Amino acid sequence: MSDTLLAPDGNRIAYDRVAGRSPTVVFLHGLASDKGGTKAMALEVHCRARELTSVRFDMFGHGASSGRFEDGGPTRWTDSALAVIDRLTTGPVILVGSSMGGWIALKAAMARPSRVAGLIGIAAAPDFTETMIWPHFTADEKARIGAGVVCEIPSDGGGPPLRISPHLIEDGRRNLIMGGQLNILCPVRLLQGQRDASVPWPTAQAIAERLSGGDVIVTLIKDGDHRLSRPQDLDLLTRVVDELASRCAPS
Amino acid sequence: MRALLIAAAALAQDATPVLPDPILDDPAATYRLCLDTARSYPEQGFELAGKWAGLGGGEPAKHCRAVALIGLKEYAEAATSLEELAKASKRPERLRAGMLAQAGQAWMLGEDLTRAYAALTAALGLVPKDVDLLIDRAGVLADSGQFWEAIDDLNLALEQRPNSADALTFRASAYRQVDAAELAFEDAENALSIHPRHTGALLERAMLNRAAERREDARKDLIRILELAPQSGEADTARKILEAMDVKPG
Repeated sequence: MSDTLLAPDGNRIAYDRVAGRSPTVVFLHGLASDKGGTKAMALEVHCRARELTSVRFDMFGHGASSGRFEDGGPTRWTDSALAVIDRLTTGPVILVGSSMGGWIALKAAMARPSRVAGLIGIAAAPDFTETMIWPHFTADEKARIGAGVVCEIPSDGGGPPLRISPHLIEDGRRNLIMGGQLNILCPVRLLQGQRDASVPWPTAQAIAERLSGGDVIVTLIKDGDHRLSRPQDLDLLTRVVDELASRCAPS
Repeated sequence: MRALLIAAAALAQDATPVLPDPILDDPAATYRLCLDTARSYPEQGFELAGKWAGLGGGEPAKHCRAVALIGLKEYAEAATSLEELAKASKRPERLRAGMLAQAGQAWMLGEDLTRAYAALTAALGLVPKDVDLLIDRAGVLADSGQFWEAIDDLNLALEQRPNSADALTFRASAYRQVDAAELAFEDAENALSIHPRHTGALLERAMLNRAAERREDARKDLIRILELAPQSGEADTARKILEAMDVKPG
């Protein structure tokens, strides 16, 4: 049974926290996904086995959290993540961000440099609204967004179409981070499939180049897709979590 | 020293068939990947396009390389490559015109307005009366100070696409430059009735309102631009105008 956190902005954030030792592993899901996805669950199982504290949560407008999906954007999603870090964790935190969650993890790491001790991006997609959605809109779709109308685009996994709101595009523009340096000094591990149809794999290299810190490793998975949820992908992810967790001093 | 390790993960312990290079086995997907990368991260896009060209990527790889060069601000090289590609290509006229349009944009970014005009005129020779090309060429003409000629192109564009907020905004700008403020205001208002969040149209209307001493109306539009797209060129201009408006005469 999930618990609920009342965020400073009055929104309710649904979360699952399993208490264990430090560091705390926090999973940030992708766009239109939630805390019950394959990677989130696999991470929780792994953290239980390692007796690490873990938190998975639904961002604003997703899953069991409050808010309409169409009203969401990186500002509110970052607020959700920061509320989780501030209120549900103590000590060092390892952020694991998938796709859109990777964007939010990068923003959260910059906002809480003393708390975030490691960051794992799984097909991390910073600035995706501007670099991966907007350029593929037709002139008609751009005009509709301009007129305040929600546009639907096919989802990656063949599920229901994604509803892209004018607010998402505009809020994305207010939160772009790839135009300059990413002031993150903690270890960063970027896992990226080369058969990812949503996030171009050179994005991982572009992120690495912008990170201020030196402890950055990009792992390209030649046959990996966007989800990176196959058993071998999850095995790689948990090994990377172990590596980063082992580097956090026990508290 | 940054330790950046690019590792191809070899996860399977048993021997598995060697997968083809992701760059080679699906040219359409590779083209999209390359263009997406070139537009967003030109350094990575240039590298990818070079590798693809070396593996027989042909015309799409060369096109991707040219797009990356625009991002790398190598405008003249990009434009020249695109013009050569358009000349040599056997593809349909619309696609060749698209390459020339990109060449025109590259020349424009490189501030060579003469060559930008020539490239866009050549493109219009392939697809006469194309609305987007007319709008692009109008931009070049306006930047060259040829506002009435720009208005001619925009009139032609708007005859075919009366609801183009971009064309209306450009024409508002051109009318403002030739002191036809009423016509300019009408175009800006029409653009905003179609596209209420069009930052270019908001900026035009703000400048017209400011010139007409309607300061509060101007301020409202300028602040709206800062809310909608704070990192845009329009927002930079809006900030400068707001600062100038807030300076009280001594």
